[in-house]
Amino acid sequence: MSALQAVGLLAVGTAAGLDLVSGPQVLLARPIVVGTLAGLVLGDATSGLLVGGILELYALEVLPVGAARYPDHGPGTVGAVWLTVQTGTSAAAFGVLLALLIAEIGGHSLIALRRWNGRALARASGALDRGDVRAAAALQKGGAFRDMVRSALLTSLALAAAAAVLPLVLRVERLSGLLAVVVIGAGLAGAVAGAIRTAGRSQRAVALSAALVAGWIVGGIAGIFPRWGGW
Amino acid sequence: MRAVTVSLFRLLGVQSGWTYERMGGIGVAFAVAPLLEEGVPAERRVGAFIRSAEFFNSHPWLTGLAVGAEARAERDGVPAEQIQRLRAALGGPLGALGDRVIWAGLIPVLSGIALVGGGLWGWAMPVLAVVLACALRWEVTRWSLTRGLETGMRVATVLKNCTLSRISTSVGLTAAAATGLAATFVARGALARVAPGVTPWMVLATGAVGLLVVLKAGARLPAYRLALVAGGLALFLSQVVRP
Repeated sequence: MSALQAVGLLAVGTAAGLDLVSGPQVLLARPIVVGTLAGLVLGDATSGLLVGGILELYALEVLPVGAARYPDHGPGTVGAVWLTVQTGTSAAAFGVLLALLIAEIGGHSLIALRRWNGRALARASGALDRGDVRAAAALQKGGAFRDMVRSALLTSLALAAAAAVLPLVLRVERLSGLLAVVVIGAGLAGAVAGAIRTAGRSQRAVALSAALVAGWIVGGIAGIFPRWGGW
Repeated sequence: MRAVTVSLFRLLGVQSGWTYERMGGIGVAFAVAPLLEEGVPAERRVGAFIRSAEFFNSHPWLTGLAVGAEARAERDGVPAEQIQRLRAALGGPLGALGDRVIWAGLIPVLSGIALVGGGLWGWAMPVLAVVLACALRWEVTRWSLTRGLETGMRVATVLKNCTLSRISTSVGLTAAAATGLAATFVARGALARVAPGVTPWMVLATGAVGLLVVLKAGARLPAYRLALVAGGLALFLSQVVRP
C-alpha cells in the first residue's frame, strides 16, 4: 500500500465515521459506499463492492435512532476491503468478520464520544446560560472534531488489525467457504429481520416476500456480473 | 451570506455536539442563532437563544421545521412558555416521521439501488446513490426550514399535510421491496464470487436459521453479533480440531 493509498483509506474511513452522526448522514457511512470508495482507492473496486455489499446487509438491520447504541460499520469496512484485496475475494469472509468486530468497537466509541461531548457541555453551560452564541459554536465544532478523531482512530485500528490478522487468514484459508456461508447467511438474516421489524404483517410484508424471491432469482444469474462490470 | 443560508448549512451538521444531557439542543441553538439576528428585538434575543439551547430531540433531516418555527415564533413575539411547549410537542412527531420515511424508507431504497446496481453495473451505482442522498438531504432540510419559518406556531399543520407524510406508505412498500431484492441478490451473487463451490441453498438455510434466532433474541443479539459468535467459534474449532 502506497502512502497515498493509506491517506486515501484513512480519509474514506474518517468521512464514513463522521457521516454516521455528526455529518449530513448521506450514505457515506454505509458499508456499500465505504467499500466501493476504499476499493477504488486500492485500485480494486470489485473487491470493495463485494465486501461492502455483504456488510451492507448487516447495516440494513440497524435503525440509527436517537440515544440507542448501534454499530459503526464504516471504518471497519476500510480494513476489510484492504484485507480482501491482499488475500483475494475467496477470503472476503475474514475481512467481513474483522469489520463486524470493529463495528462493535465503533458502537462503544460512539457512547464515549457522547460522554466526551457531555463533559464539554458541562464546561460550557455557564456561557450558554448567559446566551453566548460562541459557546454553542465551539460545542458543535468541537463535537465534529472529536468525532473526526474517533473515526480516524477507528479506521487506523481497522487497518492495523487487518495487517495483523493477514498471516492467520492465509494460514486458515481452507475455512473460507464455511465462513462465507456464516457471514453471508447471517447478513441475509439481519437484512430480512430489519425489514420484517419495520414491515409488520401488512402490504409491506407481501412486497418483502416477493422481492426476496426475485432477488434470489436475479442473484442466481451471477455469471453475467463480470461482463456487466459488477462484482 | 443570508441568515437562512447559514442556518441551512448548520442544519447539515446539527448532531455534531449531540449529548445525552440536551441531545440535539445545542445543534438547534447553533442553527437558530443567525435567524434570531434578523427580526428579533435585541432585548429578547439572549432569552431566545437560551431557550433554543435546551433539550431537544428529533430527526436530523427534519430539525429545520423546529428551527424555523422557533425563529418565526420569536420574531412574532410569542410568549416564551408557548415556544417551549412547541419545542416539546414537535420533537416526537418529527422523530417519528423521519424514522418512518427516511431511516426506514428512503435510506433502505437508496441502499438497495447501491447494492443491486453495484452488483450489476459496478462502482458508479453506489456513487449515484450518494449523489441522490445528498440531493434529498439538501431539499428536505431546505423545505423544512422554509416551512418552519413560514408557519411558526402553526407548524403542526405542515406535518399533517406534507409530502413526506403522504408518501410514507408508498416509501415503506418500496423500502421493503428494495431490501428484500437486495438481500437475496447479494447473498446469492456474493456467494458465487466468494465461494463458488458452495451450494447457495446452504446460505439460504443458514439465513433462515439466523433469522429465527435474531427475531427471537431481539436487540440482544443482532445479526452482526450472531456472525461474530458463529464465525469466531468456527475459527477457534479449526485451530483445536485439525483435520
